[in-house]
Amino acid sequence: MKNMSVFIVFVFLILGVAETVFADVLIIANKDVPDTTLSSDDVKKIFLGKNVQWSNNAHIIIVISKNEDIHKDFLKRYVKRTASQYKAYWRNMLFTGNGIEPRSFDSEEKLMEYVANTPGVVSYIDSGTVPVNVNTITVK
Amino acid sequence: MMRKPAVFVAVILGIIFSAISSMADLGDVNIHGFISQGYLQSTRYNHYFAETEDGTFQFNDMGLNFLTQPADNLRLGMQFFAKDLGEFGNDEIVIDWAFADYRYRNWLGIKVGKFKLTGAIYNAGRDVDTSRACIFLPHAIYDENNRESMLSHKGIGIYGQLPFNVEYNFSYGVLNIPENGSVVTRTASEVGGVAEGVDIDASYMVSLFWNTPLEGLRIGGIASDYSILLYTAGPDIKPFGERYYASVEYTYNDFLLAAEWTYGEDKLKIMNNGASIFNIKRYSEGWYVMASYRFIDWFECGGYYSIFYPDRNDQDGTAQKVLLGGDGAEYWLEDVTVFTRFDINASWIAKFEVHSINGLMNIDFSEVSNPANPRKDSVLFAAKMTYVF
Repeated sequence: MKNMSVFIVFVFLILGVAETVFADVLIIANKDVPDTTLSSDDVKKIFLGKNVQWSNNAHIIIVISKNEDIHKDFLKRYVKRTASQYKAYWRNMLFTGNGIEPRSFDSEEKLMEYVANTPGVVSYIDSGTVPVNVNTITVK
Repeated sequence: MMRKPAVFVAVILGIIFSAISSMADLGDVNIHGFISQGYLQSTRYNHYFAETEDGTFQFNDMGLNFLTQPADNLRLGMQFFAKDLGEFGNDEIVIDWAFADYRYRNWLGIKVGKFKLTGAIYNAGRDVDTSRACIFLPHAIYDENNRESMLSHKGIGIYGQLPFNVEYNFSYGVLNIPENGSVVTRTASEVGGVAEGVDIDASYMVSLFWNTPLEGLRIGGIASDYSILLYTAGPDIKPFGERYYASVEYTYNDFLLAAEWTYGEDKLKIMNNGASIFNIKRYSEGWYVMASYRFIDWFECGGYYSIFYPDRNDQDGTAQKVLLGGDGAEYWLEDVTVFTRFDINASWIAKFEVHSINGLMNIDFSEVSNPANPRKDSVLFAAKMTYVF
């Protein structure tokens, strides 16, 4: 019984240590996207490919950042997954035919340019970056 | 020996698919694939109908897929797949899935063609080695010997998101049960015959998963049925029945905890000229609990406990021993497994695991050296390397 108690305390310590502080990310979308406010649950479903249409039934396209820190922070805050879990999730979707992996961009400039020029696209950037020609989405 | 022609045919088919999509203006075609090679070694008995006691490399799989999205709501794709596990598979190329998926709304999508079944938590992704840490999923739910038969439907499926974070899937069609596969071969041999043909009746699978308000916790329930008819030189054999699953999965950061339970009503009818001459009805049951933790980006490890009884009312096999002889240990399979996964880079993955197995359910009893008092335990070591692109 004592061993079991020590084990439980150990597990919770590991889980507690795993908590980290979030960096700020901004969610951005093409200007034709009608939704300016989303719930965090909506964001999660969109980036997992479960919700595929905006409120006007237009198709949602997600793109992701290759910037490791921003990507990890975004996933942790909104998708509630680690980067490796997210990659495994999309590989599972890909090899079961249930989805195509989101396109990813090295630089925020290129990512923002793609978002600005492609209808229905949603993505995220560092909150310190000034959004150009895109809408920002508020998460409630 | 089959591998080179298999890959060649897949590449040719891929080129044809790409050419057709280009001519038909189906948009960009995404091409991805994977190749896995494994090794199995056991201390006693041959597991998975492979020569594991001597050690075997007859354990590999490979896939190549093509996906395109010609319209906003429409996705088309197909995957060629070949595998080898002991005496089954033999790197024969099959169309693993090929379907059109029209997503009308978030709450309704329709699939037609051959597609993966969304059953128990990890069912659809069983062939996707990179999506999990273990090599073999717990046999209680994911019996490797039934792998191909419970994976896909040729038919129609509907799916979508419902209110309160509930996801549903329903499919109706014909299960993929190859005539030379393990299910047909083993079922026929159990009644002393060799399968000469198989008819598969349409079956259903329905699943509901609820993403609970507790972040990371999913709960699900699944129901399905099956019915096939095997023709042999002697009597015909008709296995049929229903199977139910309950699933729970919890993830917290890099920690994963999953448990699933299954219950089945498995019936077998032996017929001569259409008239039933023998009937068996059994209630099977199994469950597992699995935990894993990713310590760093490139290293994850975990373990599971899994147990399955083909007849829950005869868990130690006493009744079967009296009826059919043998030891009785063929009527359970208990497995304690420890597994590790190393992500060498984004494309290469290596996995190692050790199974401590008790019970002779999936062992060919003719291999048992002392049938009156056989050793029931054995250890199986598995290693697998995968390249994915």
